[in-house]
Amino acid sequence: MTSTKSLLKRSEDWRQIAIMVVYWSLLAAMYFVPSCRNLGFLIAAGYFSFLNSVVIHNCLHQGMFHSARLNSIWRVLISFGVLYPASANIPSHNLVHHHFDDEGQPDWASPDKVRFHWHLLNLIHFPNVAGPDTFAGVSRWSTLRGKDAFRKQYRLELVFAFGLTGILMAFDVWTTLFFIVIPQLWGARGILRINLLQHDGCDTTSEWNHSRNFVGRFYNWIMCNNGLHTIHHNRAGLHWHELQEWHDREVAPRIDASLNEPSMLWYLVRVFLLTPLRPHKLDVAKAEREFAEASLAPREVRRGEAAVAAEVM
Amino acid sequence: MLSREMMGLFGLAIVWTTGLLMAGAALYNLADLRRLRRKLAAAIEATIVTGSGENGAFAVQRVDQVGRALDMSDGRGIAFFDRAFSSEVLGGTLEVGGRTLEVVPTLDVSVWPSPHAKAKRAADDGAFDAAFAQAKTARGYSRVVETPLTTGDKVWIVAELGTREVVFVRGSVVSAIDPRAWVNRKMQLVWFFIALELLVLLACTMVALVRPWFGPVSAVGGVLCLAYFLAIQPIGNTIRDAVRAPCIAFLRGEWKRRGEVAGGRAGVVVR
Repeated sequence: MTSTKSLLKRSEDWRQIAIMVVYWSLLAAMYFVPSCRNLGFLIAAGYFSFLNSVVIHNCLHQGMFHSARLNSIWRVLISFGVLYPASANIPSHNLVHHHFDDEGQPDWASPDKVRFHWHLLNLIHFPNVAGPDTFAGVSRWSTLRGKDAFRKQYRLELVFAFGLTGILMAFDVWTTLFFIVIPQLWGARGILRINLLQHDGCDTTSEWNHSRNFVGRFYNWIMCNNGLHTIHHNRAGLHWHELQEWHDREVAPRIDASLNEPSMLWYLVRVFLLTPLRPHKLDVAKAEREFAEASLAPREVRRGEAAVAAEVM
Repeated sequence: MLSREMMGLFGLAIVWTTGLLMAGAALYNLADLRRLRRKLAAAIEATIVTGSGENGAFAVQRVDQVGRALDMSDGRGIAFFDRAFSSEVLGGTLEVGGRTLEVVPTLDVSVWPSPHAKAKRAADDGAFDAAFAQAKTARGYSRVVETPLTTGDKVWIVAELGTREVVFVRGSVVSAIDPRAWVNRKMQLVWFFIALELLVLLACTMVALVRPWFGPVSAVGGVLCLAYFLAIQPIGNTIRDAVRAPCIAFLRGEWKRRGEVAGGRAGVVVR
C-alpha cells in the first residue's frame, strides 16, 4: 500500500483534500437528502466552492501528488466543483495574470475591465467580463503548437465537469440547478472577483505594490494563505503553506501599508458598501520609486568611487 | 428547508441581475459612442493631395502583432495576437473645401483605416515560410501591420483648420471611412443588443414561469435561463469589442496553409 508520505509531496496538502471531501459531501447531501436543502448547507457549499477554486489555484501552481497521473486525475475531479476545467489556470493565471500581461495587452482579469461608477456593481459584474475574456484567451492559447497535452487534459476536465452536472440534471433538473450549479458558479465567479479585490487601485508595474494583501491570520488559515498575494506573485513557486513566512520576511517591510488589509470582510464593507463610488487611485508605489531613486550603491562600490575621485583630484 | 419557489426566485434574481448588468455595461459603451459622435459632428471631408511618408502615405495606423505557430493536423498555420496599436500623421497637404492646406506630422491623433484595407495589409504576403519558422520559437514572429492613408484618398478629419494649415491636436481624427456613419451603426448595434438581450431574458423567464411551476415546460425554462446566463456574458464582451474605435480595433487573424505537413511545401492558401 502506498504510504501517506509518498502519496503527497507535502503533508499540509491533506487540508486541501479535506476541503474537497467536505465540499463534495455538502453537494451530495443537498442533492440526495431533501432535508439538507437549507440555507446553512447552501452557504457552506458556496464557501467550500470558493475554497475549491483556491485548491485549483494551488494545485495548478504545484501538483500535490508525487504521481503525475494522480495529479491529472485530481485536476479532473476538482473541475466538477466549479464547473470549469482546472487547467484553464495555466494560461489564465500562471502565464497571463502573474505577468499582468497578455502579449502586451491587459491581463484577462484586469480590474480596469469594469467601470461602473457605483463600485458595488463592479464587484458583482466583474466575473461577467473577466470570465468570458479568460476563456476566450484560453481557447486562443490552446490552439497553439505544443499544447496537445494541455488540450487533452482540458477536454477531460471539461467533459467530466459538464458531463457529471448534465447527468445530475437529467435526473433532477431543479435540485441540480439550485443546489449544485449555484454553488459551482459561486466559487468559479468568486475566484475571479478576488482579482478585483487584490489588484484594484494597485500599481501592477511596481515590484512590491502590485497587489493588496488580506493579512488576517484566521482568514489565511481557512483560505490556505490565499490572502498573501504579493509574495505569491513575486515567488510563485512557493508552496501556499510557506507564504506567511516569506510575506513577513520580504513583503511586510517594503509594501505600502495601505495595501495590507487586516480584514477582507471590513475591506468589502468599507469599499463596496460604505463608499458608493470607486476609490481614487493612490500612488501606492511612490515610496518604492523614491527609495529606488535614492538608493545607494553598495559600500564597496562607493568606497571605490571615492578613491578614484580622490586620485583625480 | 429552502423551498423550490424560494430558490427559483433566487435563481431568477441572479439571471436578471446579470442581464441588467450586461445592459448597464452596454450603456457605458453607448455613452462613449455618444461622446464620440458629438466630437465627430465637426468632421469635414478632405482629400489627401500629398503625403510625406513612403509611397505618398499621409497617415498610418499600426498594429504591433506577434505570430505564434498553430497546431494543425492538416497543415501549418500562424495565429496573430495584437500587442499594441498606434496612429501617426506623417504630414503632407490636404485639400479642404477647395483650399490646399499644410499638415505637420504628429502622433497625437487617431487614424481610422478602412477595415477592408487593414485586412488586405494583414493578409499572407508570401512571407509565410520565414514567418512560420519564427512563429515556432518562444519569441514568436513579430510584425507591424501598417495601414496607410495615401495620396488621392478621400478622408474625414476632425482637426483645427487654420488659414494655411490643418492642426491635428490630441483627440483629432483622420478617417478613411465616414466616421459619423460608423458611430451611428455601432450605436444601433448596442441598442439592438440591449433590447434583444432583455427580450430573450424576458422570454426565458416566462417559459420558466409556465404553470405548473417546476413542471416539464418550466424545467425547459430553467435550463434556458442557465443557458442565457452562460451565453450572455461572452456575447456582451463581443459587442464591447465590436464597438472599439477603428484605431484600436482588434485585428488578430490567422495565416493557414492546409494540405501540407509541418516543414513541407506550401499547398492551398486559406485565410
